[in-house]
Amino acid sequence: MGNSSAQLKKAKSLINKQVGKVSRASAFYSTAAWGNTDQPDFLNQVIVISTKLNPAEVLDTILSIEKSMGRIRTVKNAPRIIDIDILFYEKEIINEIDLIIPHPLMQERKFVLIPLNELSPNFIHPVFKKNIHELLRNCKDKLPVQKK
Amino acid sequence: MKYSFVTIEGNIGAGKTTLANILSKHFDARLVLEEFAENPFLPKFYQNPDQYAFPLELFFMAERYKQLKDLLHSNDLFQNITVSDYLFTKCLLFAKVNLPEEEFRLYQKLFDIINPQIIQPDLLIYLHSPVSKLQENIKKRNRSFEQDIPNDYLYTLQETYTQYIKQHNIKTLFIDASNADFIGNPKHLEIVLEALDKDYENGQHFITLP
Repeated sequence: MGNSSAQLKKAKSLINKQVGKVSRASAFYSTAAWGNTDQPDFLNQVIVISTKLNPAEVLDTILSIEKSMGRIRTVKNAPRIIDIDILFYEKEIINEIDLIIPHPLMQERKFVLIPLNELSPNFIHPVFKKNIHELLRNCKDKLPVQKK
Repeated sequence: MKYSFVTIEGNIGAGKTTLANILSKHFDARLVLEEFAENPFLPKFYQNPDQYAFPLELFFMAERYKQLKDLLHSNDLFQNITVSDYLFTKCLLFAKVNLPEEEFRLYQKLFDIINPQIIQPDLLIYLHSPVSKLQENIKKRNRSFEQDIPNDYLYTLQETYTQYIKQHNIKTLFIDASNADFIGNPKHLEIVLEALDKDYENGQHFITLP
């Protein structure tokens, strides 16, 4: 996820309504915008939800939430004001042209691993067969991540 | 110029071909352009998508394969610069949007057999424009069969493209092209040319035009 705490709260409430009940949520963590030094800092949060939707339906719903939250460029250059990603769907491994689960870059991003580690340090990544704590220890991402 | 093979992608009406033409002239590069005019199914598809989507996408895959395979077999690939206005993966992205599930699976099987033989660009330039701007451009270029494209179709294509780029961590210059004028505004072209002199890491790199 990204951006301001108000947007994160709004997204969480829309996800809770449209995708499924949010059972747990990490603290907010701020990072410099990944791969783009011109942008202001991002806020990130990991949430756990239970849903009856299948992964493709979750993706569609998330995209429509992103769209409904608008593309006003409060963040310079960003195509959307909020970025919602699916990290895991239980232990499923999905390889579609527009959807890869587990998220293919999570192991390279501390702003994902740190909040994830707060929630579920022992969850085993179904592809790498390592838990989140180990992935975080092995992660070489140098962007500072700060708890808010 | 740090790249030997640059591909320009974007939604229908984003300005891919225009920029590809300009860049190929500037670098005296080989130019590979989509030959949409030769696809007999395209006008029929816009009239009746359900019936013509599969032959349409199959035709595109065959044509794109033929074009890009020749590229690999020509000797001067590594001496010269190549600029194209489509990715081979475009086949699968459009198929994902246009085909029902079972047909898409079949299409993907064929794609997966062919795709490893295709040379991939070392930089992708993605032109991003809001749907209203795309519709404006589509109107302006006035291809008769394109004049009734629904907004929803363009939205869905856009999501599919951006989702693909995001998920696959493709080395991409993501250009906000909503006010792009590469012909009339020399500053716009200059910004792109400057960017092409940089060594980018994988992932998206956002650029706006003044």
